[in-house]
Amino acid sequence: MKKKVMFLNFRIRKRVLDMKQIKKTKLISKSERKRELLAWTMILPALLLNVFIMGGPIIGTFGISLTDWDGIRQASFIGLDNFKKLLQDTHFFWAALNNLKWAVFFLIVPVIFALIIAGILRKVKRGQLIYRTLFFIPYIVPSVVVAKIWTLIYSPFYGITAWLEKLGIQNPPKFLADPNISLFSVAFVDSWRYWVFLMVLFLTAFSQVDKSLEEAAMIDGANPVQTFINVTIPQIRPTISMVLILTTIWSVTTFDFVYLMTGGGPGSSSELVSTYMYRLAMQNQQPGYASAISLVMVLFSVVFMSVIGLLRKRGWEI
Amino acid sequence: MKRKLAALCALSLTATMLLTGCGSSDSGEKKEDSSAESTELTMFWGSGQSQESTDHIKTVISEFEEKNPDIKFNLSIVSDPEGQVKQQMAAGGGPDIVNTDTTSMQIFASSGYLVPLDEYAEQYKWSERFDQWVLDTLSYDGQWYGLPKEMVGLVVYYNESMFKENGWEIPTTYDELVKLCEEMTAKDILPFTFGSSDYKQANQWWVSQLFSAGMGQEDLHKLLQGEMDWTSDEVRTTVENFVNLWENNYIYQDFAAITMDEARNLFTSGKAGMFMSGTWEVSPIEEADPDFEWNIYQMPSWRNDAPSVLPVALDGSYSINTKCENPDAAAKFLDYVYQKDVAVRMHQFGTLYPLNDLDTSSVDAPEKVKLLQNFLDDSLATGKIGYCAWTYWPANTDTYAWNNIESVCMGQISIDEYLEKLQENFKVDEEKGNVLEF
Repeated sequence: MKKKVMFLNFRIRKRVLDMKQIKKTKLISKSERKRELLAWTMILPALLLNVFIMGGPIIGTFGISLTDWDGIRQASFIGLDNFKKLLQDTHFFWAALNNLKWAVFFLIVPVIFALIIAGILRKVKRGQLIYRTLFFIPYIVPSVVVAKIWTLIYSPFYGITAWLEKLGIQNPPKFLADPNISLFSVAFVDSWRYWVFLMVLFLTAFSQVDKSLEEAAMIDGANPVQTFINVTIPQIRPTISMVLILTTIWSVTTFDFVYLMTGGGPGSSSELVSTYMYRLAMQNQQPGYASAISLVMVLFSVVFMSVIGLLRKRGWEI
Repeated sequence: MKRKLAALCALSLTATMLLTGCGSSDSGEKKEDSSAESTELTMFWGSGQSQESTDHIKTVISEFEEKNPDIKFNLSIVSDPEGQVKQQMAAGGGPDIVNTDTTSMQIFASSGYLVPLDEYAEQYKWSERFDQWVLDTLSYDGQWYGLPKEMVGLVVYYNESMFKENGWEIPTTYDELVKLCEEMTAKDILPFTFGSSDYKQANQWWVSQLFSAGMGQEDLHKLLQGEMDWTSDEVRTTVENFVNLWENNYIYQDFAAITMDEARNLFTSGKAGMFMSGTWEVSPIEEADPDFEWNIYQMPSWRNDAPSVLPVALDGSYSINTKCENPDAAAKFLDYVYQKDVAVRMHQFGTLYPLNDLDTSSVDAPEKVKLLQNFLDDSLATGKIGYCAWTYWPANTDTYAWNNIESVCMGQISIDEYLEKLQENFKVDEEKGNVLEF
């Protein structure tokens, strides 16, 4: 009986508290509604711009994807045939697999490298700005220039290959000519440029880290590496999550370095979905089919972001 | 709060007015342009074209402008003129003079984007000046739509000094070609140089050469007219022979890592014995001035039952856009391009015009240019010609062929799959009316 009364008391108290909370929320809502309205008004131009800039082409692309069109003559409506064709297109899946390899490479190499360098650089007291500036130079050089420089570095006549040959090394790697490594050779160049961007993000995140926790860990006997891995990195988890999400999405849409350095070759060894799509649209006179592929790329990004959003809502700390 | 909102609205309004202002100023400029008395002609030119040909077209344009002060010319040098022309014309615009390959020209003509040139042909007597095969190639549905940019052929440039030193002969059969390549490789000489890192479409040259040499004139003609299957044994053998050359590194396997200039350097520096390319290579090789004697031969037939052929092409065409405000001025310019003195100058640096009334024997041209002209004249006179993909092949088949030949060589797709896809693409081309009747 006593237990029952206690339980009821608890229920009543909880309800009272809930009511208070609701009232409080209502009060907050009233004052916040205006601020929210202002915020919406402020972002409205950007939102409209996005709707017109992104929405229009997406609708247009969807329309084109339902047609058989050579880019010049009258288009004919073919329904979902382009999407059906996509499911049987082995070249598309080959390119998608290359995108996956690209994503794995980018989720590991530049991220780890940027984390390590940022971790070291944050300890540099004097001349940090000089280092940061020097490291950042590749990022501000246009990708066309970077691609040309690295094409020369990879050249079998003037580059690393020729240099290794001169050193007497038999069959040195032919970075852009060997179908087994051409994709990773290009990915390396892109990541050489990309890691500095990540480094800046990590440096900014490191500046928010609670140093007293690191000091406490050190006092408890942790060495610098252990402190970095177990105390520092967990504190910048939101930044790392954001970097991983962005890197995954950008790996799906990446185009420039492969287009500039190999054009997807040799053969189709470095073909990505984006270069394949470009080729279909611009050379193969199949913009309808290329549009279907581009929509699949958009769909992937949307689904990926939705899953991330859903997981976050369910409490995943990503 | 109200103030903030009012400020925001004012800001939006100002932004809108600014944007509107920009728009009206732009249209104002257009009006001004259209009301101007002089005509402006526009044309795209590929940045990948040789410096000589770019300089030449600029000279021709400035001469034309001098003689026709009421016509101004706007030449836009772009990296992908073909792609830009397609995009702009599909959007209802495009340059006045459409400089494109003949395959695309057919598609534009069939879609009503080009002005039929028959009336101008009569006015300027073009039909008398060009060969019938040229007219056939540049016609659609009985009407004439383009003028040829130049006539080209695919030949093999070879290091004559090297051949003499080693006692090598010009091959006359496929087996002899393979033997020659073997001997070169044994001496650490690269047989055929090739590079495509800056221009992947260069694969078209090998595709055109392998199909011409491997199929011969008659069978290749049948193939391109839909009278023979792309999956037939003859085609399979042709591709197998090419893959054999590639697999043995007789054709430079690192082609994807070097540019066409670097490929040429391999030849002019004596590291490669042969260079399969077009007649357009004469000038760059002459300019490189290699320290050895070099010469030209025609690729032998890869079949015992067919004679050797010279793959020929019209390296693009000039047409007039239906959107051109002054097609008469455009036609006037086209006629100027084919004036005899212009043609003679072009001939001197190896750009060969398919003109009937141009006596090339009297032109003071380099010896190698004369040799190339003879190759072309003989082949055309005897009908021993092959068919270059960018002129004679239908669009989808052509694009698939050159885009995927590398994958075949590297074993990424099988020869059977390649041929089946070629057949499929050819079927699509037939359905869409892309197949050129010649």
